[in-house]
Amino acid sequence: MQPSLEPQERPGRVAEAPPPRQPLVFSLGAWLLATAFLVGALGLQGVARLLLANQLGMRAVTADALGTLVGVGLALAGGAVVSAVTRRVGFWELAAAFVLAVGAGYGFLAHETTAAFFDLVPEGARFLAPVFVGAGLLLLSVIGSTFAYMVGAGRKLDLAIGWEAQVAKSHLRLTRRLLWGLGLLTLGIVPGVVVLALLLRRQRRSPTLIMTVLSIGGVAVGVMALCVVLSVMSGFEIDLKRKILGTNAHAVVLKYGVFEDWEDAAEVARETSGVLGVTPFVLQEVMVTAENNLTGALLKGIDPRTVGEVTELPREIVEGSLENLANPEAIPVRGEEPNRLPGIVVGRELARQLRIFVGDPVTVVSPLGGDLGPMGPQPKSMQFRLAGVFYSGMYEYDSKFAYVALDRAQAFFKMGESVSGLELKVNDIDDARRISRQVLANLEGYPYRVKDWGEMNRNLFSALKLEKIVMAVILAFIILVACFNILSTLVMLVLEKGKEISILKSMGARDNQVMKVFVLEGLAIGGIGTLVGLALGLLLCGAISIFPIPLDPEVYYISHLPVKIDLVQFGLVGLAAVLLAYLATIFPALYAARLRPVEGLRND
Amino acid sequence: MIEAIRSAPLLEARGLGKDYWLPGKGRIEVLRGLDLTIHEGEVVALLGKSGAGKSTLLHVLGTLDEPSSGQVFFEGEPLFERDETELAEFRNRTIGFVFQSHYLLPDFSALENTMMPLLVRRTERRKAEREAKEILERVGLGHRLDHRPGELSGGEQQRVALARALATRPRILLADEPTGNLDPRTGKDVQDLLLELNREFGTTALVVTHNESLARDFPRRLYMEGGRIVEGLGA
Repeated sequence: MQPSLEPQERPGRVAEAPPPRQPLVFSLGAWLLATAFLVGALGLQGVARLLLANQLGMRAVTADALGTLVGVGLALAGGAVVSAVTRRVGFWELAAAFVLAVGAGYGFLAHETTAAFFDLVPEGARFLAPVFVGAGLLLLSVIGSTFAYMVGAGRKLDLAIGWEAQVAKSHLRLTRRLLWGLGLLTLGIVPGVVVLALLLRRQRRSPTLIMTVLSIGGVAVGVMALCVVLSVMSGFEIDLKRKILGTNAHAVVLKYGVFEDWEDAAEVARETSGVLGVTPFVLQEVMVTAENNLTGALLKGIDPRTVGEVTELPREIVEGSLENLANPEAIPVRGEEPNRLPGIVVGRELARQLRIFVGDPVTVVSPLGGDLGPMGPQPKSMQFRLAGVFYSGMYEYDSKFAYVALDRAQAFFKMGESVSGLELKVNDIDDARRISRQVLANLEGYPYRVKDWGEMNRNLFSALKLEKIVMAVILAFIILVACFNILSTLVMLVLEKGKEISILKSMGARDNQVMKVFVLEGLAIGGIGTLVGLALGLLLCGAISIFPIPLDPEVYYISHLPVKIDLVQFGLVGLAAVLLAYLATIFPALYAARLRPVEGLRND
Repeated sequence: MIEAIRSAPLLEARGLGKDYWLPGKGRIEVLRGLDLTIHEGEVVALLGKSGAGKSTLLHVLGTLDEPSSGQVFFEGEPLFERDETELAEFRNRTIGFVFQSHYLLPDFSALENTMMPLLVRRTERRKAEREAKEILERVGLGHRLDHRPGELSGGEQQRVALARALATRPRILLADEPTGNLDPRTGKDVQDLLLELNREFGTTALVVTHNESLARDFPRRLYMEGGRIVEGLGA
């Protein structure tokens, strides 16, 4: 016995080479299985589109959603299988499978045809898509495998969380009083904080409690911000969509060459299921002048009888009337004599630019279609009288469109009986593409062609969608930061409770049960934070819609901040927040689970 | 005693070694090829100077720590060939620990602390509560069920710890200086209770102590010196 051995029975800080009881073995089988699952999940989207949408005629949205859902399930199952094979979380196998699966996805999309099929033509998108989708699947499979480890590593299914929840609760000190306070926080941040402070005044204030409350607050603020911003963006999008689809048709039928047989084609389109209304139109660019004012415009010849079936135009008239296009005698004229000029309807902004009012004469000038003069083709002009003014709310439309009766437009442009095309209204705007394709099929294709609203406004809507995704990603970082908060809280807790973990393990608590304790703690923080955040977001959105925030309509062309409370969106935000919180728990919980029982018993 | 020796050894350590690396001081051997045999029903006191490796031995025997060399056999089966899950199961079913300072969970009542190993075993809560209550009454704490460890005296805390260790009716009780933090009188009371319960339940016990006078109550005494066991010295 050496004298220097004196303090070694309970060595204070001992750096010990841990004996390799569970050596880090890379399970090839698990890796291959995980790769199979991930590749399968990656490929499902394509299978869903090819088989369900293109072959079985399912709606594209439904097919995509189904493919995504099954893909998510496959990723979760893949993780669970890896955990079952390796009897641990198997993170390295999953990560290696991710690399392989993303490689396969990239190789697959390297072909022009497959890339075009997924609308991923740009090189960057082709590379990023498998990485992003693969990363999502990797996270899902980690969730699957950690979950399976927690419930299944003890050989038999162990779903119970009895004592684990009890211990977790004692760690977080989530008293009823605290939960009430957090609930009151949803009534508004300032009164909530005051009440919370009052409630916690007499409670033992441990550093852990403060960390817990701060973590919950972080998640709540992130979730609230994401919900509110997405709701406002949805509001803008819906407003824009309503305005665009109010003025424009859901789809148009065009024809290569002269479109003279439009009445037959209209009949065919009308018979197609899903089509609610059909109206012909003529469209040309012109100049409009009144007195000394002049501006460019799109002159659209419409059928005043049927246009209401397709667009909102009759309901957007703010002055005069649309019917007077058909009977111009009824247009009120300053002076006694009845009106002999044909009617025209322009947007509010156009009327403002030309400084004209209902009853004023307007001259429409077309550089084309005139007679040949000594200096070449002469512009042609025609007088109209302002029969009405419309207001769609879209500056682009209100400042550019002028409507006249179809026959007048045909005469002015010397088109005879032909039209530019037919406008269609369908029963489901999200299904406009399929319905318009069906119309094209019924017309037996060429020389006809169709375009739906999505194609016509592709730039606008894809910009909006991109903006929304980018916003969501940026704001999701707030939640991510909040989840790092959860992570640090849990790491603190694990370090603080090392002794307790050892005691529990000395009683026979298994690693996966210890993991459950800390995952439950993280989920409690994340879950409560998410609930508070969702409630706050709902409250704020409600407040915005009840007490509108005014915007300058000259700039934004909308009088107040729009907000659309989409509960599905709220649900998705909540789900994402809880999933992120779960991911944040994995590291500290696994760390706690792997603490050797003797660790916390040595230093007392 | 002769009966006990004839039956197969319940717990047996062979060539047990354990070393630590201390930064700057190199390798320290705490256990050096230690052999130990404990038969079913034996109640053994383990004496030795502090730093002799008593606690380390107890941890290794209870599978809380792994030996650097050698093996521990339970009923002839090597323990350290089992995986973590099986070892946890072994600790829950077979071993009861009592530590020097009580090591109760501070936020739980005496009853909840005593229930905990049963709950870990997934015993139904009501049954666990009944059994825990029973054993707490047996250690004389029937009137302290809802008190937290902080509200109990040192002797009471250690009795709760004893009740918790015995609540699962383990085959082996491993106690690490259970009376070390108590005044001599209370210590004696707790130790008497421990021995009494052991007789009552027929638990095999290994109790670490450095109090020679308390150790006299034990039928078998072992001494630890230089990382090895010296049988029966001073008996």
